[in-house]
Amino acid sequence: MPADLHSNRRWSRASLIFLAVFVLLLIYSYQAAEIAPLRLFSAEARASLADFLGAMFPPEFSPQFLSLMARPVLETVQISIMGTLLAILLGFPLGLLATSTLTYTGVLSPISSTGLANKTKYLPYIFSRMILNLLRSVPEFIWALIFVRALGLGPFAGVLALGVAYGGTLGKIYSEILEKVDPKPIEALAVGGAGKIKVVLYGYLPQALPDFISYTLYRWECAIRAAAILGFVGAGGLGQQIEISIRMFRYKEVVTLIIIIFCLVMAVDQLSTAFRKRIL
Amino acid sequence: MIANPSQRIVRNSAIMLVVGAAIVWSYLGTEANFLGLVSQEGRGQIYSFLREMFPPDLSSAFLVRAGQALLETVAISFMGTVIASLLALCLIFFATRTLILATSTARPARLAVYLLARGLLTLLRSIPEIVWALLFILALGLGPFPGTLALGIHTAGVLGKLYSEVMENVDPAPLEALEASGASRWQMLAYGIMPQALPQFISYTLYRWEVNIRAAAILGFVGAGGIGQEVHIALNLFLGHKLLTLLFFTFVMVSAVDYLSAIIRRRFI
Amino acid sequence: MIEIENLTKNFNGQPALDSVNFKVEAGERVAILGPSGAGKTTLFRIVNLALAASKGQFRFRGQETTDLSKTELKLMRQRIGTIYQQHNLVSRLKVVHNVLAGRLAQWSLAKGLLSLLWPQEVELARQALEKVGIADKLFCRADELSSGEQQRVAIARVLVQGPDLILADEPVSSLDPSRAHGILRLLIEISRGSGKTLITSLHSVPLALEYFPRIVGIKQGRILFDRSTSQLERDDLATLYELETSPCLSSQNESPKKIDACRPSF
Repeated sequence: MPADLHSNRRWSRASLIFLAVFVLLLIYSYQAAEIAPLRLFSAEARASLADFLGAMFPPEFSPQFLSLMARPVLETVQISIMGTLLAILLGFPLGLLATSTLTYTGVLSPISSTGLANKTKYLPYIFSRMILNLLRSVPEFIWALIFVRALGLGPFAGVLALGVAYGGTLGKIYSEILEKVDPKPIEALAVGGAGKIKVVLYGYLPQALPDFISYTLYRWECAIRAAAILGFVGAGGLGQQIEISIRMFRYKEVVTLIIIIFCLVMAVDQLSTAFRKRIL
Repeated sequence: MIANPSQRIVRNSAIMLVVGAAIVWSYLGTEANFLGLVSQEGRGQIYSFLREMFPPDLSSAFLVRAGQALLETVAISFMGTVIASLLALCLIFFATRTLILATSTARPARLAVYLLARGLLTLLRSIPEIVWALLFILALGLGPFPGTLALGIHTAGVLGKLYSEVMENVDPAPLEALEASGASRWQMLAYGIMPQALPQFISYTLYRWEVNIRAAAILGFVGAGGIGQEVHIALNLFLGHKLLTLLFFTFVMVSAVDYLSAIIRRRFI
Repeated sequence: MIEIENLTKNFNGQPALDSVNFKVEAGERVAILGPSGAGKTTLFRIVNLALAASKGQFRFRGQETTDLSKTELKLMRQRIGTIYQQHNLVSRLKVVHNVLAGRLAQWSLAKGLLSLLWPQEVELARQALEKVGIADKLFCRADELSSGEQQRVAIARVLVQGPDLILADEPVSSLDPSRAHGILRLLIEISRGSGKTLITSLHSVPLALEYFPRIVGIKQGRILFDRSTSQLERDDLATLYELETSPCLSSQNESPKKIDACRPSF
């Protein structure tokens, strides 16, 4: 809440500024995005929508088509698993470096450091945060395009794209989880003379593990959704099929593929929920 | 939970075995070749790709064009989030158990509406934005409008689910107090539920805006406007210098939205 | 064992410890008494090298503790064992790992990692747990134990660490009276048997009088008295715990800063 406690104006200045910016942005966006609600109901749109819906039903459920889809479905799952694994491998070390309680504050840092060590102690933290931001702020789809261009078509480009983009997200979340662990056992370990890596193994990780697993599973759920569309740019999986079917105007197949994605996402959600319950 | 240590060992080894097998299976299936990445050939490929991109294209004509695409992307993400939030607000009155199923009049009809609304939300969010965008482009033609609609429709499904969870979890004690003092259902909603739910609503909506700015950046690939269209052109025509500029713009834009959203969250929630 | 000279520690400009002078010889057993917020915990955290002093000197076994290198700091920390009020165990780890954490400083990294999967030096942990009377809990998870048992695990960890100086910061405040006696007896026994120096802060005056030959009173970051138990006078304790007479003070738990602010000015 706005902390303007001593003012008896009904609206604080910050709220008014915020409201003004919001309205301006809304007006600008309405025009820039060429919003035209009436176009949705124009005769033209209605006609093409009707054609379109007519061409979509009934969905394509022939055994040949379904059996052809088995491979892309499995590939999508594989991309999501490998992508998440790569994300863990990238995110974990970067996340450790980006944890302030490990790198420069608290009981693990020399109690009275001087000179060079004092000046450089923030560097690993700042540097790793910057890398994590860079990885996270470019969407996985664009990473996929880059990897397809650099390394050629195929599921491996999808794996790299997911791994890099989600590595950034996981690293950031891991560092947030690590910064929130109970500091008392950490201090007990550190004043017993254990070094940083040992304190991570015996103090940080046992405390953080449930949250790590839970969040990583959530990222895997996101990864399966992403893996399903990365194929649009040639990075393997179901997306490639959707793109082909749309380009060929075979909308019955598109509907089937959407149903398949829906079931896949649901199945992964269930699996990850069950897994979470078991392990925590 | 499980008292017996040996049971715990069996369970943990079973889980590790399954995870390990899944990883091996995926490694083989995705033609993952991490060593290839650092092999001479892989390094050469990456190096030549990077060399194509430097230096970035900083000519004023291109900067203006990229800047316009950038602003359009922000507009699409913003408008998409606004549309989504309005749609979700309309739908949650039918999709929140504690609201629609609270009274016993016309129960079968209410249940049917509830299930229908829930099903609709699930349908909206389980179709990816980019597929929605393709469908809207087929119906409305190219441009930012179908992209905005795609974001709005997909996000409405996500926000609808999140909003109704928030509504179902509000503290019932103030509601009972209001009901006891004779408030109508709408008054209860306005004075009992909304004040509790609003901060969460705003927080979730901001979070989705962060997701949507990333999504808006890629919708252009299928012709739905924004910076994605420029990236697509630059990639297809091998315009590496322009690509680097666009990637940098995307990075700055996404970071800025994340930052802005964090500030709003801190100040107003 | 430790020598403290003119030691001052400030937190945000407010002194938590104010020109403290204090000396403990090897093998001594000292109780530290004082109201909450008197600076006992700050003193302990400086002595166990978690914090650096703002001013003054702290020598451990004759060695200065300022400007230590990372390795020197680790080595010195190994010589000091700490037991906390809230035992500070890693609750999701098994007891055996929590006890062996005392050995971590001596172990190689590989051994530390391996031990998490396949506990090493289990015999050592078992002996330590036997000494504190809970050998049967070796493979329980730490959070499955009662708080008295958890405190015993924390003592076993310090035993395994094998320090010269044991610091116990209110080790019995969260325990019921009969358990409190048990834990203090155990600490005294360990100190007597091995000649280790023991410094304990306590809330309870009777416990301090019963178990410790030397008592130090701290109030508002200053040492109020420091004498052997036999020479302790009634007045000492009365001054230590006396309530301020100022009308706006409702409890003695106020921070020193508030007390000053509330004092009537003359």
